[in-house]
Amino acid sequence: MEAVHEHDHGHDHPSGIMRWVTTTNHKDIGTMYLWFSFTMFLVGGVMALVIRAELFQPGLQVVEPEFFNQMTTLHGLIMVFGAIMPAFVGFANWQIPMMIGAPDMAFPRMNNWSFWLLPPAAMLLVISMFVPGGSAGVGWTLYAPLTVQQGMGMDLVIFAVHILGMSSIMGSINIITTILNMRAPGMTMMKMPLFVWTWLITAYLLIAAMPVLAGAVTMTLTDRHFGTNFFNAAGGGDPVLFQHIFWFFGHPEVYIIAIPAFGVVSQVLPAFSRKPLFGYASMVYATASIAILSFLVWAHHMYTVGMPVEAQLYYMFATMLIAVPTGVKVFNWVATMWKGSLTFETPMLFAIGFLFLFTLGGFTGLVLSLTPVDVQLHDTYYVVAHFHYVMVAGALFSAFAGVYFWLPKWIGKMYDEKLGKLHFWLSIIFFNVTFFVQHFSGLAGMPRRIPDYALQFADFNMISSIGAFGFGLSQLLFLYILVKAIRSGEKAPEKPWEGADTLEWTHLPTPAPYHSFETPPTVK
Amino acid sequence: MWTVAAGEGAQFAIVSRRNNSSSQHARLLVFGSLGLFTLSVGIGFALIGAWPVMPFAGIECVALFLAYRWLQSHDDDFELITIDADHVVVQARDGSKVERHQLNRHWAQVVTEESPGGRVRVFLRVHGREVDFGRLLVDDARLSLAKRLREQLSRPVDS
Repeated sequence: MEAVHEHDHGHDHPSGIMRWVTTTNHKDIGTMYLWFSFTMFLVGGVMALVIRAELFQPGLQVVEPEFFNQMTTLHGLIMVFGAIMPAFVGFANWQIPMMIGAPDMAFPRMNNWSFWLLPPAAMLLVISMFVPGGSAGVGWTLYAPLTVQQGMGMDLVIFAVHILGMSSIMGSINIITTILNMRAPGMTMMKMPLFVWTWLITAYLLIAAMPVLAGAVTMTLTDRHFGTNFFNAAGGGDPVLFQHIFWFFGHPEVYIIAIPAFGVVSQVLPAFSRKPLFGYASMVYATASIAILSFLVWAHHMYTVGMPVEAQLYYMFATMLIAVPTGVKVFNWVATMWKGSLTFETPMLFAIGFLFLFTLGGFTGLVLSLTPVDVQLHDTYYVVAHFHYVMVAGALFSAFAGVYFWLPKWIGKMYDEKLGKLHFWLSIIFFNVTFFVQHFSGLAGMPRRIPDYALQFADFNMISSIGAFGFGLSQLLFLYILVKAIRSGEKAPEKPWEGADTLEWTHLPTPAPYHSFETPPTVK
Repeated sequence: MWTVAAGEGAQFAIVSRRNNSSSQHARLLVFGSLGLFTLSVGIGFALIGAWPVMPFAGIECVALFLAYRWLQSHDDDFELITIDADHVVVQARDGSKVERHQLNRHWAQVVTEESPGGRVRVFLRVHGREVDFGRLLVDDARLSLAKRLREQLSRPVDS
């Protein structure tokens, strides 16, 4: 047998708007996911700046309290469902087929649908601000019974969440099938790059968690319009039931965001340490353990709702248990760098930034897992600081690391290294200016989701707002770096990162051809 | 896509088939465990009164089942093109559908067409009859195959 390896480079890939509407190519779809995600990141970012502008000083200066609540809600929903999740699905689309030696995703048409469901959902979220009564002002957790009292903006948000869920489920089935069935000969499960493993686990989480969210928002909808009383205590329902259902989805959701970020960092750190990932197998098992545990700890978000002491103890210890596999991962990342031949290009800087700040976010999570402490800190800015260390410094920094790392492979051009480093330093400094002080505001008792506050919190809030504007502006630099690289970047060498050793670097030219791995490579 | 040794009488044979990296057992385990977990969660919530989770869990199980069934039914898909002195034969299996087309070699033309969406269609045309091939390939590979077939068909019959 003789494998046919010829490429017909005479055939250029299609162009024009229809290319993007009808495309089933995983690279095109990955690109659309990434640009969509970045657009939503800017939209959600502007909402964050509205919040921080209002909080710059005590008193009400910029927006009405109702609009402030809508901003906190939409900021959360857009960043979680519109920015971070699609960003990692974009990475998955681009990278998974290339990393496992597959020509495309298993269900290319479904892949196209998964993406094209996102823009209508995002539009629903955004236009909900302009309907009578404005958008939902209930927080991203959509807690009942507040949701029952909202205007029609709430219905648009519910509809958007349904559409986003459909997109996620289709994407997940596609990813699982691709990884399971389209690996190149020799690419056994335990030879898969860790990024692929993390996405396999994430897709499991998504499939398990999404129907629960869909059920929760459907019950909210029927409570609002069809006379049911699932969450209405006056009608015999139970608002706490909503919290249980929401967090059964919501806690795995945190890992749906974090686990692909672990995957990106697990590719970047070894490449710039010029060493294989330390403890590959333990990384796989630790990731799977985190995923399993994520379904067993949801009520740690609900200590203040009231629960038996036995339940409090269970949730406290189960939550603390997550620190064990997470610790394994952090240890392995550090051990990967240990005695490595390190260089500090932009992707590596963001990966190390992730490592520092995510670990800090993990520690504050450990603090919050302690029931007596959480009862004091619940719904304070300490919690806001904690989850922004996990979501922004964790997921977003890892996404930046991934973009800088794979950009040469995607477009065949290099980004400006000096500007990339500047982007990193501005981001990490302003991120900490914004969020580190929020630990202190929270410890001092400042509640979250309020547009006005006591004078004692003024200094911390002013610092935080200055940091937020700095962080936001730094991301415009990122946009400039991207545009500059795409328009006039220097030609990327075939393998710009010496230590990168996955299939997309070793078996494909740079930039990656429109169709890759028409015949599967053999992995040794 | 693989070139295979031409059989008796055939001058050229080429077969393309899916690269299935998972066994049927592994697929059953993965999709089954996912479906089971989703259903258990749905039933659990239904038991505490949140029954609307159940229909969504059900829909998802149906989606998982369809994906599983699609994989199973397309496990053995292939496309075999053989060329002998007088005929070009295209045999293909697509799920449960098996097709065999025998065309006159001397009149067979390889045609490539690009659709407005940019997708490439390649087919053999004989006396107005068109037979598509390269269904299991991506566009570039389909064009490569078309090029190879053209070369084969333009060779003298006795070579």
